Amino acid sequence: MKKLFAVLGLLAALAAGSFAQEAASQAEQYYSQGKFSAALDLYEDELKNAPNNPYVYYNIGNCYFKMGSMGLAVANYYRAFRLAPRDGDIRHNLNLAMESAGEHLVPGGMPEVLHKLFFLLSYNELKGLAMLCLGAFSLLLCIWIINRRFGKTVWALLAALIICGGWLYLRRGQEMQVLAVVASPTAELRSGPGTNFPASANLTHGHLVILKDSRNHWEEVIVKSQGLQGWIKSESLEKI
Amino acid sequence: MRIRNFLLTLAFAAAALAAHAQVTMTASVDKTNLSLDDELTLTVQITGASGNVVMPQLPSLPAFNVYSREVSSMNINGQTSTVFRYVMLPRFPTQATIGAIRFTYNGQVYTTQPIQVNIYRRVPAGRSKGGAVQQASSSGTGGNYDSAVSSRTQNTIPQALASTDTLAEQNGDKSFFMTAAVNNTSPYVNQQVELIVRFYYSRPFAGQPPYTPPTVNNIFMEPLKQNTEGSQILQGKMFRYIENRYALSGVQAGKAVIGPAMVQFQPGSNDVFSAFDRLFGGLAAEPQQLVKSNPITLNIQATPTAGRPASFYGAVGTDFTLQAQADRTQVEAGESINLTVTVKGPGNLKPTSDLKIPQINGFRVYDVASDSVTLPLGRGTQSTKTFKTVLVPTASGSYTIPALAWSYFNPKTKRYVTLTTKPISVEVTPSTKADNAVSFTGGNTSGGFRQLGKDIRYIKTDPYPGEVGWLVSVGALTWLAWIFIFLPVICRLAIWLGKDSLKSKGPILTARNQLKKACVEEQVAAAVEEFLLKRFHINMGSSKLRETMEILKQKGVHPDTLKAFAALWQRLDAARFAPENLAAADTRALAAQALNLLKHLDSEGRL
Repeated sequence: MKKLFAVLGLLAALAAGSFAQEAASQAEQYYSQGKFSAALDLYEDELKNAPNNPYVYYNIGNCYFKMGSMGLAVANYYRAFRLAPRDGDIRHNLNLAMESAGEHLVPGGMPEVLHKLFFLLSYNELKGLAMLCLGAFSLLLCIWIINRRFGKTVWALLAALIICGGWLYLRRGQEMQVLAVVASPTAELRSGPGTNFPASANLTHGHLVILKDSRNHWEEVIVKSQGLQGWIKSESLEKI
Repeated sequence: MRIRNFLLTLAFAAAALAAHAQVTMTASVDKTNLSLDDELTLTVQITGASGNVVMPQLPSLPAFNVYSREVSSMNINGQTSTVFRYVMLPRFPTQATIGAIRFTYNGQVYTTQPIQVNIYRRVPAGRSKGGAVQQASSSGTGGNYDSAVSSRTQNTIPQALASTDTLAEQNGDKSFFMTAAVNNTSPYVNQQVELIVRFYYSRPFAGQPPYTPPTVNNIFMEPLKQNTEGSQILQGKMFRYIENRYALSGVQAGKAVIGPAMVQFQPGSNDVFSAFDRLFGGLAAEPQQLVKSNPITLNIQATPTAGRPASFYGAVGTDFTLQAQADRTQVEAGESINLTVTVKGPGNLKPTSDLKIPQINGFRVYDVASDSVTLPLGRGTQSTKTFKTVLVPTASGSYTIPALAWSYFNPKTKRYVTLTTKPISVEVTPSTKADNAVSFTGGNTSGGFRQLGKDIRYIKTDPYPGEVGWLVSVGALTWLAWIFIFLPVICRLAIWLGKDSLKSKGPILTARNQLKKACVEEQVAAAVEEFLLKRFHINMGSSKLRETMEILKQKGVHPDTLKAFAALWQRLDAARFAPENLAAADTRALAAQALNLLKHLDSEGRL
């Protein structure tokens, strides 16, 4: 009986895999034919099965980009970038989509190499690396305490731990930021959460903002690239 | 007397016959092929008839509405010529005949030959209508013709003329006056409106009176026919007039004012002495007078926003045509194609916005340059607006310049009409010019590399390989961090708690470290000396071998170990006082031997 269940389970898994493969193939075909909306539907379905797959977010971003929805394209590329920051294609497309809105992935003044180094590891990988540094340092420190051996190595590991910890701290700061993208063609930045407050700026789709607060379907945001702060209607934003 | 009377009668008869023989009547039309949109001008010229010339009698004209009659006369070389002009509008498509026109003069009836006129919905290609109208017909390109505007325009000029006539009739009691009338007082922005300004006079005036055209605001004004003369009977009195026509188009929605036109003139005197005055070369004129036309206010309407297509650039009217043409359809990549889009239609297209040509796949599209020409034509103006752009294919292949849309607002149907051009296929072959320096993005063109543009990278079809799994797994063990943090603390605490035990281990560990690093005999001796001092409180410098052996024996050290220790002691003692230059290998062997011995001493000796 157990064997029967095992066989059935295996068959079900194979069928599901085959179905997913077929859907991906169909989505690619739609994309190649320029039927971006149809491809998007299939990728959105795929996302339900693999919510942390950066490639699905990337493909969704591609569909939105081709359909001219730069805001939603940036949002999905950014989700993919957070999950797989080393991927060159994701970085390229995110950069291109952001540039269309006047934003830049690499902050002004920072060398691109440094930015790439900063995002060499995903946040989870960086946590693992920091843990390894801490473990090695801790063990060697114990040895040093006992018989004063490996003194230089302990110092080197302490330096590595400080660097890794700082890196992790900075990345954590980024991870904790609640980001959003202007998804509607234009969004008005107002000085308060309501249309009775004067508008200070118009933002086009694709602008990246940091969410600070929320009130009555309005979001308080910081537009880092422009150095602006204000309130935007929630419906104009796509949270990342 | 009888002979004289006979001769006089004969002379009058001869004169009458001569006069009769000189009267001629001709009838002509300005065109014989016309469409329902056109007007036909029938001109009847009577030459040689003097005095009160009655109007010729027109035949029945079921195919036409006659809406304007004008009479003018001139005297050339003593012969009077009277011209009757009838402006007629065709009513339906047919082959119409303008029958014989009758004119009676001095009891004699004159008739003209019938004239055949063809009326079409649209004048077929090749059938000339002559002059400006021929130009108008040639503007049709076919395919884009808006059927909604093929019905005739609703006699816009008669409406203006009717207004003019009404105004003139009201002022018929004056000798001099001016009128101004338009055919539409509530036009849309950019819709063509015709303004007719007339200066009526029933008495002569001196010289050429200066005419000041009307001033306008919020309106574009293009002059049409100027200084046309005619006559009209108002309140039973014959008036002559000078007419000026203008085509107007509103600039912005709101009020627009057509100011008064003015004529300053010096009327001829009407008193009984004026004839004598003129006889003796005097002016016989009254003081200067100024007459002004009535001002007109137009209510310019904005075109409705509902249903306004993106391709609407502000044109209002009917019968527009659109055509696109590429100067070549087979090019090499990097070569330019001149694309010309032409819009033709009534009114003034100058104020309309330029056509926006979208980004075309496979092409670099340059900015559009436009040119507009407006010419008087028939009852209004005809504009031609040309948009020119340069397209440069960026790579080889078969491309299509898509249909371009241009919309206008039809004020009669109150709907937007969209015209589209036909798509143009272009074959692009690979560039054969290695030095083609066209840079599309300002990128590098050197080294055989040229950047054509930027696009996103293709979708990902492979499965995601995932993160570095073991690193992520380690990262997930957050509890481990606490262990790592507290481990050195625990270690230190343990040392503190087991201090004595650890303390006893200290000398041998120190000695081991020292012996491993020892390069010369003195270092070996120093390590052993320190061990004995820390472990057994024996000072090698002040103690003798025998005393030391005794202490060690008391501590429980095995006799064999003691023997070996004695040998080592003597050797190190000798080295201390008479150092040898041992080879490195010998020193290491000595250090190893010493370490082995110290381990035995440490393990066997009691504290």
